[in-house]
Amino acid sequence: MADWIMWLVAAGVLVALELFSGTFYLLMVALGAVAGALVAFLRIDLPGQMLAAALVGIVATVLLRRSRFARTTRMEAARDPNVNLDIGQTVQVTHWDNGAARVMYRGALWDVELAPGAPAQAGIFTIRAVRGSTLIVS
Amino acid sequence: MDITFGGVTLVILIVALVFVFKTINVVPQQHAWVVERLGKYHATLGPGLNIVVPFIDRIAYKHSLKEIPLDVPSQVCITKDNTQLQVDGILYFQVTDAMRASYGSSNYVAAITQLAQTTLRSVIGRMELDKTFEERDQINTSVVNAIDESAANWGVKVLRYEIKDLTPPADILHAMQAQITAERGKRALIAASEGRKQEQINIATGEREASIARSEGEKQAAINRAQGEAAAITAIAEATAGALRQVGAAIEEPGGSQAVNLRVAEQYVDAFGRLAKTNNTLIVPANLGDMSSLIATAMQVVKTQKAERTVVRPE
Repeated sequence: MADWIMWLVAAGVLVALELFSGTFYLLMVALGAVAGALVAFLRIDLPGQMLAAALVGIVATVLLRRSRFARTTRMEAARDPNVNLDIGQTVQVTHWDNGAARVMYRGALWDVELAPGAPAQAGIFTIRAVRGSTLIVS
Repeated sequence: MDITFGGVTLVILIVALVFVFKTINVVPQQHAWVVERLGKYHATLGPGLNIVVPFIDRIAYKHSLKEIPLDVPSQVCITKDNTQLQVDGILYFQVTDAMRASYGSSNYVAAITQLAQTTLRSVIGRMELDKTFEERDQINTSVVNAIDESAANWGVKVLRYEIKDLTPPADILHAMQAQITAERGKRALIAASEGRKQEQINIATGEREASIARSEGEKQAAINRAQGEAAAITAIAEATAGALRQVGAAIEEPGGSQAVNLRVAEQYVDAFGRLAKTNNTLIVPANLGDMSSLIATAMQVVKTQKAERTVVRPE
């Protein structure tokens, strides 16, 4: 069997595995394998094919890092609603005591702190960040 | 050893694979991975595709941010009145801050478990046995508050602590059972006696009302009877008066007094005859001469009548 077919078979297997794993790792390696197949098609020997596969894999990874997939706006984890589902939810604060309060939220009592600049008055506040077990609201 | 071009490219390929695997990180939803750069905390990776610098960055901790139910091992607590109580609870917690959960405590699960157990012990130690069953909510709240105070730096929020089981020693359990049985028995007796009381009241009221109604009826009947009798007496008296009046008038007529005499004589004889018929004892007038004189009188009357008729006949 020709080398380029072997490389393509490897690439296909990697893509299939990638689909099963539901991640992203093997896709770049599969791209490398496709590059190896192209090089093999050009009748370049096996070391050249492997080098091409490795280089394409690395370059594809670097490109992925610069792509918009990896350039999700890097947010502080404490403020990231993807990290903590509580961020963006609202709580009802009845009274403040030096910028701190204790409120009922999700069936439990939570410590609440006022974000800098927010007015300390009773009302509904939105959770902006979670620090430890304290909700920062404004 | 000869290092061939082929060997070098193979190594490069392997390095490339490692590079790819180390660089690309896909974090699932509700997970947070903590990245250390050269041993120092660098970032917390949120869900999605994350690319880190290989060899410099290291995924140091992986946390699940889902709510976790944690079974707290059962423990023996001593209440204020010195009873041993086996308490079994369940703790619901959630990692809220992956960075603090990684670095704040060496083992946050052990930390919250132990703190829940010791707090529970102290809360129950301030309560009497009976109170512990009633005030589970207060116990739960106390445990959660105590953990909240201490766990600020653990990156963990305890949402709930629920007591699954409160088991007193067997003999206390029996005593409690006996107490509740006695209590129920007492209530049953009271209810039965209330029932009897009500029944007797009802019966007495019924009897009272019945006798009142009956006496009313009797009263009315007596009144009616008396009125009837009075009316009858009056009617009889009037009739008697009328009769006497007629008799008087008849007596006034010629021969009336003789007719009366005859009548009396007839009745006398008749009554005497009846007496003689009904009784073995013969009742005789004290003065038999009266009898003969009476008969003589009667005969005289008859004779007179005949004579008068004889006198009248020639007309």
